[in-house]
Amino acid sequence: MPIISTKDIVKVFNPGENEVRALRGISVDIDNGEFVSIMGSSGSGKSTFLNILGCLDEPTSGEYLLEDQKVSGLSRKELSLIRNRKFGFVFQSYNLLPRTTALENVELPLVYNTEIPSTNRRQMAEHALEQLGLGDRMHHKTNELSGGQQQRVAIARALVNDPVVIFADEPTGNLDSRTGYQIMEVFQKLNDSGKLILMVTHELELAALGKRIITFRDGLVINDEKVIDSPRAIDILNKEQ
Amino acid sequence: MRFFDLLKMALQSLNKNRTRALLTTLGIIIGVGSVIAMLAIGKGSDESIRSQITSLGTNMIMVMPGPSSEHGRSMQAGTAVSLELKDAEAIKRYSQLISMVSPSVQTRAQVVHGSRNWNTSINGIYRDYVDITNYEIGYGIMFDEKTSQSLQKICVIGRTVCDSLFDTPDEAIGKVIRVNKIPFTITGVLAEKGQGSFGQNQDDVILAPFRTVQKRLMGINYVQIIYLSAVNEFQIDAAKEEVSTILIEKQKKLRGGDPDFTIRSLSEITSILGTITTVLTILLASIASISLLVGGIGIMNIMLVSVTERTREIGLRLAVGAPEKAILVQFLSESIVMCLVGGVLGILFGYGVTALVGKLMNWPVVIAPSSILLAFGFASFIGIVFGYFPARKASRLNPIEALRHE
Repeated sequence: MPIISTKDIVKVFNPGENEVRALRGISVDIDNGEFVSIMGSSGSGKSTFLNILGCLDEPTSGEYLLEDQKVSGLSRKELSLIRNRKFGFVFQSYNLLPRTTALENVELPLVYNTEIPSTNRRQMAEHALEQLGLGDRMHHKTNELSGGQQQRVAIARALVNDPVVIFADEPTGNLDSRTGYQIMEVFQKLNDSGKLILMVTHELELAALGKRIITFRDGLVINDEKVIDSPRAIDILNKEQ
Repeated sequence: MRFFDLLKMALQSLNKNRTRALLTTLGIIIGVGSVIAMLAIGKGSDESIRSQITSLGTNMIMVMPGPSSEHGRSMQAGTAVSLELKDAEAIKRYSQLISMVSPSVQTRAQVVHGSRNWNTSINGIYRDYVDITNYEIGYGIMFDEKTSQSLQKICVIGRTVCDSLFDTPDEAIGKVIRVNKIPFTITGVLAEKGQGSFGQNQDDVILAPFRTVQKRLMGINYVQIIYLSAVNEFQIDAAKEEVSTILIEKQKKLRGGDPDFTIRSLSEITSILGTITTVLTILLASIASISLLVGGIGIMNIMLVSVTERTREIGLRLAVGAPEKAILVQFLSESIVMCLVGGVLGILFGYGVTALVGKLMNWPVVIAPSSILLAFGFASFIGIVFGYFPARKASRLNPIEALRHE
């Protein structure tokens, strides 16, 4: 049973005269434990597709099943509940709260989770940060951290509620290539431990670090292939040195 | 979402923009402060006006006998001899709305001390008369209630009488004057009161115990006028009604004939008094409310700016699973916190202004607890009303658009 299953997803922006058909019928199945790279040039519809899968946006038509449950037609409140409990997001521009400590940023998804008592929040956030090697940066404000560190805080925030899927939209786009590979290494390790990761990128070298590459062009999937023997980011880093 | 989280979030984000939050709150501080100060000044002037009008003797009610008639010809009102001391006593005993009662008789007399003499009016009264008519004692003492009901030959004299017979008021105390040849000992001199409402000189008077004047000077058995004081100026009409009922009943029982008296008061003045002070308070409060309203609009303005500025933050919160309601409550609580803090500081500010006005202008100012509640309630109300629109705007944002906002 695939975790994510879409059938004929269509997304039309500005329906009417200046309409833009961003997605023109996407059908994809994604299983647990996969590391999927979504490739494509800008305007190919890859980010739109990721946003729909992440329940941040709704398709114009088509069916989206998440863990065999229909997502289309759910209310805003139900969608926010799915995002809170099942998804973690990593954005290109980190999107951390300014002038707030790393710890508080990581705690944020837990604040909206009424099932987690407020006394456990701090401990869970500390644990997530330690996992990403930021144990000594917890009380730093976000503007006191480097880009790579900020992105790791963002990953810790995506991990803290133990999500089913982690969505990453160009997670290395704002970083130099070295730091970018360090972030990719984090994703690979997470995937090793069984997390399903969906990453949007337009760089083939980064996409190749995943286990499957889906290529978009003009709102259609033009290629969907498994990566055999994907290289390890740590090896690339070591080779460069 | 828990209440504590919300409060923490609101305080944190206000803290990040401290100057802005403070300036916005200033609008509420001034608004609440001025509502409190204006209400206090209004209430103070209300009480000041009331006490001044009371000192004119507006509480005063007079009971006079009806007109007498001689051979079928009506004479002037007040010339009949139908009131007696028992009428005054009955009013005193049975009336709920009358606080003070004094019978009175009045005659003119030649007053002599040493080589000087003066012609003045001498009033036989009870102690209460002094308070009903708002006389005050300037020198010496006023005879007490019990003495005023006795036959003792003592008196207090008005300032005009005093000046005519003595060089200084102090000199007069303890001296004996002859009133129509009867010796009276002076116990006190009245403070100057000036002209009455109809131009008469209220200081040209001698006050003496009622029965002393009635029996010894005039040799009569009736009462000329009964002076009464209503418990307050708003109960005058009811008090008149009540006195009338008591007298009608008593006079019917005793004499069997038609009741024969008239009751007078200065009721027009008191009815105007109520209107003036109400209008004044409403005027002041509405001016103050406008500044509170302006403060509220300031809050709304800043919250709208804040929502626009923090669109990305809102997008992120939505992305990590904040329900619409949590965003709404988060922004709403920011504006409510600002208003409540403004409310508390505004109350202090209002107290300060009130005290200052009271001191500088020498005005009586009274802060009613109800005005504090009113101002505080108004402030929270404004926080909710003016905070709601921006908060709703924030909660309705589309997560993707909000995240992409530059």
